[in-house]
Amino acid sequence: MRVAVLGAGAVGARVARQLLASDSVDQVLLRDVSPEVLARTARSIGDRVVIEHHPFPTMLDADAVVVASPRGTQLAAVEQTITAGRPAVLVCDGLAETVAILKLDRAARDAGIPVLVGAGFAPGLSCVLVAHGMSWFDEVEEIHVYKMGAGGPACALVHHRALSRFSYDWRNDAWTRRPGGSGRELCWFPEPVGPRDCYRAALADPVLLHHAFPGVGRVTSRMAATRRDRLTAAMPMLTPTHAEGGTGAVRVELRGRRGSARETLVLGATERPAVGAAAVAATAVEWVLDGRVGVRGMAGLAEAVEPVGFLGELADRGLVAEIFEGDGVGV
Amino acid sequence: MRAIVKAVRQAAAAVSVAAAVVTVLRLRGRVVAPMQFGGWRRLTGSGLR
Repeated sequence: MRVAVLGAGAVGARVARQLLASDSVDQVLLRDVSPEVLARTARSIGDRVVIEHHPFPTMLDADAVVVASPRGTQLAAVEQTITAGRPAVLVCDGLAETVAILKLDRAARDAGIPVLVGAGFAPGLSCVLVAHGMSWFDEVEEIHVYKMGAGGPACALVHHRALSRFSYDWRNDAWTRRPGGSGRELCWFPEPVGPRDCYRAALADPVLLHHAFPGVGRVTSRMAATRRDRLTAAMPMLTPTHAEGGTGAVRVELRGRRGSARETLVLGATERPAVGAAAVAATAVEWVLDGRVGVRGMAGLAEAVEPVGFLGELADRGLVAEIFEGDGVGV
Repeated sequence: MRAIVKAVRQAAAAVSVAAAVVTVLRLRGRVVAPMQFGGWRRLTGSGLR
């Protein structure tokens, strides 16, 4: 099997490494616009990597494609994979681009391929946790997603801008537009992250979760931020971001009914976001190659994978899901 | 003209006083996270419960 990885950044390089570490992939085709990044990544991974420099050939010779390129380049990459008729796994978290990609659903269905949108840390792991949490309930009325941390510099830039853009939450059969940086909420992430103030932002999780669970009445998302993040959100990033990012976390909260009782369930996980996103994307690629993804067309992980099996494989890679058991919380 | 200058001065003074008050409150205030009850547990087992 041969997998093409578009983008050799913090996530793409790790996806390539994880895929080659498993027996399901023989060779990885790695593309990036930076020759330095390509050379560094190829040196660290070994001789089973084929690198392609910019400008890239139009032909995409691979059994599956991982799109881990920066925001603004992913839509064109997905169009190319659909044209080539190759299944794709996307690590994306930009709201506008995710919406644009979901609109290619008809083309992907006509090509007969699955395109897994948002197969990273959040969205990605967050969607799988929600899908798993749905089995606790007879009926889920609310889904709330919280995330903390960013992967590489491209991901940090998306998060920086997200705080100054409008967030879209699903409430009462309509999308509600609210300013990013508003709606402060203190929430506890798994240790060692702990309590963080979270705010509305232009995040893709509600779009993907509503796509998967259209019957849920309320779907919201927030991301952790500091006062400085909110103050500088409307400006360009003044300082270069950390190449790797620190420890991050994701937390999902489901509220609903089980029997006659109203219950709340909180699930989460903690990991460096680039590492977590790579584990999720690599696992998703293996599921695609094994034919364990039943959907065709655009789908988030919540509707594309069986959550218990997927979370079990993520746990084998060191990304372990957790449940919050507290006073008045838990099913 | 004199009335405009006076209004600008009064507005600047009001903003300055407000900023000073906010700064004092921010510096004197303490950020204390409320107590959390319970804790996180890893999901385990074939059903991951």
